[in-house]
Amino acid sequence: MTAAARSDPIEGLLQAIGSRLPGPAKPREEILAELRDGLLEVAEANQRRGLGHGEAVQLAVHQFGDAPTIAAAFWPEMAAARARRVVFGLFVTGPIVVALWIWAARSRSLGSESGAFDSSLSHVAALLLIAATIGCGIWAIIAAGRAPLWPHIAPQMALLGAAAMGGIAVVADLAMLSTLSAPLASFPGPVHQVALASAMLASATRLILTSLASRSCLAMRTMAT
Amino acid sequence: MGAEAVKGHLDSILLASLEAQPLHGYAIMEAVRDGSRASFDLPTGTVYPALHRLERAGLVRSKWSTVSGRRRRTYELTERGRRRLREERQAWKLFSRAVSNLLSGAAAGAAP
Repeated sequence: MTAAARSDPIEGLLQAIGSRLPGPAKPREEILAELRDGLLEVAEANQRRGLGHGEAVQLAVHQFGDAPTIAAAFWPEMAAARARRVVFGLFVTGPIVVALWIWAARSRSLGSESGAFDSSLSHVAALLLIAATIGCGIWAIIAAGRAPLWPHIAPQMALLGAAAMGGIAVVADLAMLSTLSAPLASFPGPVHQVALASAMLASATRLILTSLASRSCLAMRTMAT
Repeated sequence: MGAEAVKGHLDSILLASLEAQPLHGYAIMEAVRDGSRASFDLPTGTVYPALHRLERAGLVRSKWSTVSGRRRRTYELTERGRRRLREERQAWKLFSRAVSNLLSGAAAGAAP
């Protein structure tokens, strides 16, 4: 607890609520800003009724309710925000990673072949992975959107969709790293080597971040049950 | 009466409090308290998550402003929210009439 939170009961309550709101910072900050305004309004109203400042603030905090209950009531909103963030991140980084791998494959010496990249089986597998990723992402966005069809389970569904999308992206990155890195590394040329290193770095970075994001979605989902 | 008494009706009560004009969280609570002649004194913290839920459902929309150096979120009904309020009002009239009939003993009097 910070010094401000120790000396000010309102900040103490807000910090207790904020620590129980997992997910992106912006919606959390907006929730806390709104609650702060509400708490200060109640404290001011208590003062207008004749209470001293300290007493008015204490009563406002008491009238507000307890931090775990309030934080739990905001869970659906935070869950939807987290799901949207993960899906957005994957939709943005997916094409970048794929483009880097295509660059790495195209930059190899003309006329050379890379079995893993050029086989029709790998093309079909890649298309299936892309389709599954996009499908999970659309599912998560619909569930996390406004006016969902099933409001009571929508946040859980959104988190599940985002986690599934992340899982498929991890599989895709692992597949690209394991099947393409070695064959493409055998081709010479500085541009090709830079392209390949960029693709590998992008895939590896995305793999780690996506694993963490998917795990956090699943962990947040269990908080609702 | 506290939060338990309005359970199940909180959304309708909040929509009704916003019918006349846009309000921020505390003003909504004041409107509920005044409109119910102080019968409903909701715990402050319960109102904000409910307002966010209504916004997610597209029944209200919010906008931010700064008042006396404080950030304030104000809510107003959407067209969908007004439609829902009319439906809730109609449903409540039917429900309350039926319960009034039952509690007043009219049903017992009509029985053979």
